[in-house]
Amino acid sequence: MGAKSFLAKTVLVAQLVLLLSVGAASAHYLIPDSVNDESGEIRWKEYTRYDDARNYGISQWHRLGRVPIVRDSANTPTDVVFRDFRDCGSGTVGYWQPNAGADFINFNTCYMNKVSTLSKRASATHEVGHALRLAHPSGSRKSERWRKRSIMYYCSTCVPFSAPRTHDKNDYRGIW
Amino acid sequence: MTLVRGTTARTLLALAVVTVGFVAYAVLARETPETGAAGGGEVVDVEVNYALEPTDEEQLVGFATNVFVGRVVEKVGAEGAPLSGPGGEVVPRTQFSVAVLENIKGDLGDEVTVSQTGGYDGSEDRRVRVEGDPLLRPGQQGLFVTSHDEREGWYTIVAQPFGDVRIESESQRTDLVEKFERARRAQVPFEPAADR
Repeated sequence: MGAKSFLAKTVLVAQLVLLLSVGAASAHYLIPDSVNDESGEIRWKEYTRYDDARNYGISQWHRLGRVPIVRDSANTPTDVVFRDFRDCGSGTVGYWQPNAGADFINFNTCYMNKVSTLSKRASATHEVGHALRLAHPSGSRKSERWRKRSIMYYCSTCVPFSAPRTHDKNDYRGIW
Repeated sequence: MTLVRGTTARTLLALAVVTVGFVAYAVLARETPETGAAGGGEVVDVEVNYALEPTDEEQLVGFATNVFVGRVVEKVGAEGAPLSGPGGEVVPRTQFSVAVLENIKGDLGDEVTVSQTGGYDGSEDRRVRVEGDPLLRPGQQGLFVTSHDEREGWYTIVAQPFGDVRIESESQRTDLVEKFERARRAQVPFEPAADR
């Protein structure tokens, strides 16, 4: 009887601990990021034509203050390179790609040229969010909830805003 | 006294069990990334940002020029998409010839070239995948949601991995064809909101 009671209590406590830890882990993080381990900042350079979108996306995260995102210089390593490519038919606006050296943020000219300024900016903010380790909040699933609440929703041209939302900022602060 | 000592010992044991369990859980949770990390240099998954709702079949089919069931014949190319800037780097893409078995949208002939984003990245000596989408293999049967690229002359898979569904059985094929036939009848054309 004592052993059963002990086991029941142990299981109960373990479940409580797991429940609490699941709550804490509900943020959406990637494992890699583009932040320089030594400097704690992201140094970038660019070969993209979408200057307005790039500057907007960078400024939205830079202003949160914990990870400076600044243009690289001759004596700093490059952490992210902004580039363009053309892949018509793929339905992808852009992507973030981790690398051994500088990571890539690549914009697909096929769609960036067709979408509104708001969507271009949303796409850049989304990709810089990945560079800061933020993941898609709904994973690979459609979610009306996340479409209205996160710039990291997997279709950034589907969201009606271009800046990080409260959830995104909380995720950012949870990491940095 | 013995009773108190026994209770304390059980409490300590319970705490130890919970602590070990929690640590194990935390370690396992940390080792389950949402995306493949670059570590190891073997395979890297890119985090894609879509221009449409990729899990909405009506939007997916509306975006596509051709939807069909096909069988992969062989790899026929590895022509990447050049990136702007110096270095000559490309977004890896791999092309396959695919025998068309059944048209769902459009009317393709016997065999077409399908381009899949992903493949070998020579500049980093590794393989690149889009959101975990493995490269096609000869002999595989799949449902392909594609968009014809007139400049390249091939059919690009839309919104990977949602636009190339591997078919493992006849019943799965029947279900998929029915689902995408329904989506075709209710398809939503791709009309991005441009600046006015």
